[in-house]
Amino acid sequence: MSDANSRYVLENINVLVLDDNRHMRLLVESILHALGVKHVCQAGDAAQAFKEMLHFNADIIIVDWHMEPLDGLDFVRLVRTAKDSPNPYVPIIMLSGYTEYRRVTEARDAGVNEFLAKPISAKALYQRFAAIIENPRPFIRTKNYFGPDRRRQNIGPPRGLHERRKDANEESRATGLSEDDIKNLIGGKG
Amino acid sequence: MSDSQIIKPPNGLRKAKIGTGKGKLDLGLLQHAEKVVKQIQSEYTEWADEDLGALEASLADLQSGKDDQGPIVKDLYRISLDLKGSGGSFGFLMMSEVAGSLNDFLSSRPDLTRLDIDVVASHVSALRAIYVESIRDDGGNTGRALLVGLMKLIEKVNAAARK
Repeated sequence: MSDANSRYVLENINVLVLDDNRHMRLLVESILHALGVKHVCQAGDAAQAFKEMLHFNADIIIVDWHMEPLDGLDFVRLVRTAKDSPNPYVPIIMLSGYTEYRRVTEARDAGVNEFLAKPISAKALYQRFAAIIENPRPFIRTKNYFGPDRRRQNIGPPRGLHERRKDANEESRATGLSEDDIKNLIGGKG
Repeated sequence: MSDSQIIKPPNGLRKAKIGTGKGKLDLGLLQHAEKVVKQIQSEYTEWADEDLGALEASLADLQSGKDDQGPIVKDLYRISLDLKGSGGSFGFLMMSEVAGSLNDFLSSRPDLTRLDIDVVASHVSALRAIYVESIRDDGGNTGRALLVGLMKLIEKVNAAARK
């Protein structure tokens, strides 16, 4: 039965923030604290984040894409598939300056739960949290993939229609899918 | 037998919700978070200055033509992507737009010609101007004019490259 008083309580969740840019880490942490999250752990590179996971039981990980030597995608794959991964099922939000459709698909195929395009806003981050809390997805293991069920397609960044149309046209030419097929994928109707 | 396995992982986020319906967006909490972001914005100008300085140093190296372009372009790419992400996050949407345009331009070029370097220089100057003039949000008409100018420059250089 629906409960009109339902709400989120973020005080008890642990969030790990992985970004090589200390300014962005500070910003994300400040937003998280303002949203009520009390336990935030920061890491400046993938190896450090993986180590932190051994003693910080992260409920959600927010990871930047463009980092060195391991990038965000490498980290996601490590968490999902490494034999010594502390938690292969942990929900992961990919935070990235990349906004192209193919990047979103690539992140999804690495095993991220949600994609959040920079610039970041408190509202967008809150919405990604809500999506993860409301829709816990089963995990799929195949020969080539381990991660959240990819059939829910609407993990794309919130962008203008013009940009999405442009991407849809390009993708359509590349894949042979119709423009409508691609639009549905981006818009979450797939 | 199917070659895919469906696993229902433990739901550790059950503790993050009270009630059985869909949680509502807490507007009060959001407003508070947005206020916090505004407070940090004042510190951002200092950080942006560091990034812009690094961008200008890389551009000077590129213009000198002394060193291998590869590592310099990699630095320009990284800093522009950082500015694209951080600028708008801290209320400098125009900074994000111009840095994004520079980042896209660098992605489209395996090697930079003299004309390409001029395009990079125009972007770096525009970013410095946005910083000095403290142009926030989308920059209004000035911002639009700046972006259109950069787009026209890129089109011109692209047309010259096709000839």
